[in-house]
Amino acid sequence: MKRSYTAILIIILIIFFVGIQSMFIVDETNTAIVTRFGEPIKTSTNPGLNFKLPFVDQVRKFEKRLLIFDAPPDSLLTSDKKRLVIDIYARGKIVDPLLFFKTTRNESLAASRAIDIISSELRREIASDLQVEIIKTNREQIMNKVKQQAGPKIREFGIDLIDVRIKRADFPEEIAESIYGRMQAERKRKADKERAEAAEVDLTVRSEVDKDASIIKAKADKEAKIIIGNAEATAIKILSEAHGRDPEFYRFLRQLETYENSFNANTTIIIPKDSNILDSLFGANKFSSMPSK
Amino acid sequence: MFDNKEPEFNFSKLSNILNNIRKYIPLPKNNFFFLIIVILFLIGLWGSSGIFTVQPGEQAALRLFGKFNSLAGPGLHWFFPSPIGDKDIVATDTIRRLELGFRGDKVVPSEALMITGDENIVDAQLLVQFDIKDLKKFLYKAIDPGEKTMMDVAETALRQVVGSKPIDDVLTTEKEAVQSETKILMQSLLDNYDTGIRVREVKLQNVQPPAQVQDAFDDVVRAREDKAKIINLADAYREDILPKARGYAAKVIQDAKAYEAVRIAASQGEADKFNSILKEYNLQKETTESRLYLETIERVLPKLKQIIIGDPNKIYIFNSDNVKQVIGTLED
Repeated sequence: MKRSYTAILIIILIIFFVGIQSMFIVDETNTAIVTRFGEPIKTSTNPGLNFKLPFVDQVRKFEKRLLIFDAPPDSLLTSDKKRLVIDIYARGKIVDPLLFFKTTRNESLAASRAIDIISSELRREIASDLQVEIIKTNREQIMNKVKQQAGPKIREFGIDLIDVRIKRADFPEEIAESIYGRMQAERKRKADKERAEAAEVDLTVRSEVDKDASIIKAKADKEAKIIIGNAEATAIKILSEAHGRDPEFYRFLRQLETYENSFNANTTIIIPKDSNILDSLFGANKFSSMPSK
Repeated sequence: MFDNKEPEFNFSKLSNILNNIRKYIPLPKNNFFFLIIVILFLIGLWGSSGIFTVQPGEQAALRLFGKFNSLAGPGLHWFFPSPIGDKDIVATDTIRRLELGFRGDKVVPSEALMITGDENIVDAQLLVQFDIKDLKKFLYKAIDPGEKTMMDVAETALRQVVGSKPIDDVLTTEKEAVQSETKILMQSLLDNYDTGIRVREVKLQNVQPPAQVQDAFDDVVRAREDKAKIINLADAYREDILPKARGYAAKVIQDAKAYEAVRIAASQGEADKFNSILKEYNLQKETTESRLYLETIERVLPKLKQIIIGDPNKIYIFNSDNVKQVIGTLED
């Protein structure tokens, strides 16, 4: 009894072990190749349970997801001999696992090779572009060119280059100070301009206002004088029409008025004693009381 | 779990243990059956470990032998436990945050400082909110999509967009445009990399000039404010001076009109008065003239201080302080 149990158990375990050995799992995130004595015989890109010859076949699994190629920042010279620190990354995908296995064997080695290729293409591309193009206008185009140049070379490892991107394009640290200096100068220019414009507006508006005010006042003064002049003219016309009817009498009346207006309490009058005005005005006894002879 | 059961190999020892247990518990006499029951029990135990719950807002992606099988929503589920089945439970509805250029309260200058289109440097901090719209892609298509890939993509997009605009626009008018363009660019990169991520919102937290040039920028702002103030004051001056000038004009003209009316009326009156007097005068010329003359003299003379009646051939000299005293006369 005991021996047969043991035998059954051993057989079950052997079957189990062989079964395990002849199966392998390919994950959604992997592709696999099967090698027999080191020689690749097939690739299994479909995820799920796969089969192989036990013991003789070896399985190598590779990343099926997008690979990250992250290059370190590199100081590059542009065609106008300016330096830019450029940090790029790329994404690639293993599309030919067999080729990949033959040429590179593992992902990290592939990544460093891909980065080398992309970096050298980038250096060449940057060297033919102006700094301003890299910063401002041409980034997309530059990246596409690098991708086109590097793509076929990376494809030789069984990797499809999906995308190349300039993550950062920065000024090198040592020229940052001069950039800040330039920015400060630009700002100063702007501030000065604002202040000058303010002064311009101030003077313009105020002088315009003064001018307008002067014109308004002068016009009013002019109009007033015209009105006054007309009034005088009319008055003269009215009066001369009336007085013209007897100028002699007017002069007489006017004289009387003048006496009345020009004599007051401080006035001293000297009348010649033989003046006939007095004769006709006062009696002779009145004269003796006068202070003078 | 099967692997852990390897000790069963030492079968005689196991049967000894079972025999010991039999002393207390009535187990089947046949060890083989008993073994099968134990194995079935273990299989059941293994199987029950496949029960799992998915919380609201979560999704579970299930793999059978590494191959994607199905998605499971919130609730109680069963799926093959390891090593046959695998499951990833992910909070797909949660809005995730990515901070670029800062972490919490701390600024990360190496991320925040970037070149603008006019070759200036700006300090920009970005907050990205995203969620997972396609769990299958999120799990199986890209490496570390929510962290490394998001970071790469956000940095690339923001720097590319800011690099296409002058600094003044980035700081002021084009802020909204920077956000929306960054969002569009990020989404297109994320879709290109099959990440299954959806960008919900891209917000510029802080956009400012670098600390080294902050003062110079502030000075421009001050200059602008001063300018606005000066323009205001100039306008105020206009509003003060012009109405006053108009008021002056109105007054001068009204005064003139008043003068005109008074002058004309007065002269009219005088003319009428003269006409009336003339009319009477013409009736009795001699007497009227004398009467008018005398009446005037009568009114005038009493007002006078002194009346001197003198010799027309003498010169009279008066002290101006005391006119009452005649200082002397010169006989010629």
